[in-house]
Amino acid sequence: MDIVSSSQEIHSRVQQVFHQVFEDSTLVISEKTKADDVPSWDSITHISLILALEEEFGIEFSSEEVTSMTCVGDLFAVLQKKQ
Amino acid sequence: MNVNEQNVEETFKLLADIAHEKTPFFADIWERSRNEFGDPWVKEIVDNVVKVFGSLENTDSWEGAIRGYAEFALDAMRNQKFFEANGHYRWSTLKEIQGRYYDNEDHMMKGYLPGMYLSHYLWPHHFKLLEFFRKEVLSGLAPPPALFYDVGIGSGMYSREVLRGVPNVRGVGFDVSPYSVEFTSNVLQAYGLQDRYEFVLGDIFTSELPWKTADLVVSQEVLEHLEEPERFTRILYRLTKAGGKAYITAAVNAGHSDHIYLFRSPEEVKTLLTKVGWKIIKWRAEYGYTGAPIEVTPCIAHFLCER
Repeated sequence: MDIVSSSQEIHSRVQQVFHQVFEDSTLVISEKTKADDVPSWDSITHISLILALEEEFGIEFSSEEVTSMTCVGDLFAVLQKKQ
Repeated sequence: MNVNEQNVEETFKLLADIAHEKTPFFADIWERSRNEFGDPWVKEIVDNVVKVFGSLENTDSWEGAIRGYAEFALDAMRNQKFFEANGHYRWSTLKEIQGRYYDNEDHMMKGYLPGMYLSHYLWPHHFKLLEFFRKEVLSGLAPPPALFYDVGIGSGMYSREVLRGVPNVRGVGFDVSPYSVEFTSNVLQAYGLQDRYEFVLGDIFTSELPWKTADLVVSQEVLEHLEEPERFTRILYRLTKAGGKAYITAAVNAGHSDHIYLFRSPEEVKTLLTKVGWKIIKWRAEYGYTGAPIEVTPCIAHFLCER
């Protein structure tokens, strides 16, 4: 799989996980999406999101990766690196 | 820097801004706790950060502490989810956690201890505990204790409280972790309290101990870190003079990477303390908020006891 299609696939799978965790199928994420853009994205939903992504991608985020994320782009970057 | 009325607000804003910028998914707690506890809380957390983690010019150190808090909170939330899913904690023996956590300098000094220290203010149930300790325990001790032992000092918060709240009291802090000793020593020096305090680094289960000498024993959220909490509370009992007091707390249904003994209710802790011989004077349970059913909601059971 080339880099572009791999990025698209990650985006699509992350989007699905967001829909499940935030129970909102209309939610559209981009690399620039931040906590302030999603009303219920607080520390409690963040951990639910992280655990759901770990299950979806079969990986484990380090503490530093989880605590220093500032936007969805950071999530994509970590997932891309771990693929 | 001395914290005065003028710069409390500006310093708090700076701290909350650093939290939002560097750890945005763990930053909402700053405003939530401020809304719950108000201006005195703001003044106190600012004073703590400035004294313990450095002055305004030292925002790198503040950032380190804020990242430490985020790691501490993440650890709790991750392990709480594990507990909710499995009905037990991840580890159950000291051997499994000693090397991973207590002997790991980076973990202890950069994440666990600064994170735990800030959690005493940032977690509402931790701050309620601290307020109870001040108002319902320390202020009611008559006569005031001359000697206290803090067994399992953690980040030094409760030793600091006794030394600040009881003039002329002397204290001894026991802990197995050299990093807890180092961190607590820094805290007490920051508050100018070190001259009335000594440390004993070692395992209380195998040490020679000064039986029946303490007027007050404090052991805050230690029982859940032990394989044998009942044996430990017997040691606390034997350390205390007849008529002496103890403030003993335990985390209940609360996942954390180094929690190995699962208490399933505050009553279970109460039963254990009573069995050992402690007379319970007052007790309470402070619940955290996770949105989960009560049987898997973390809480801290805390007890003022008398020998």
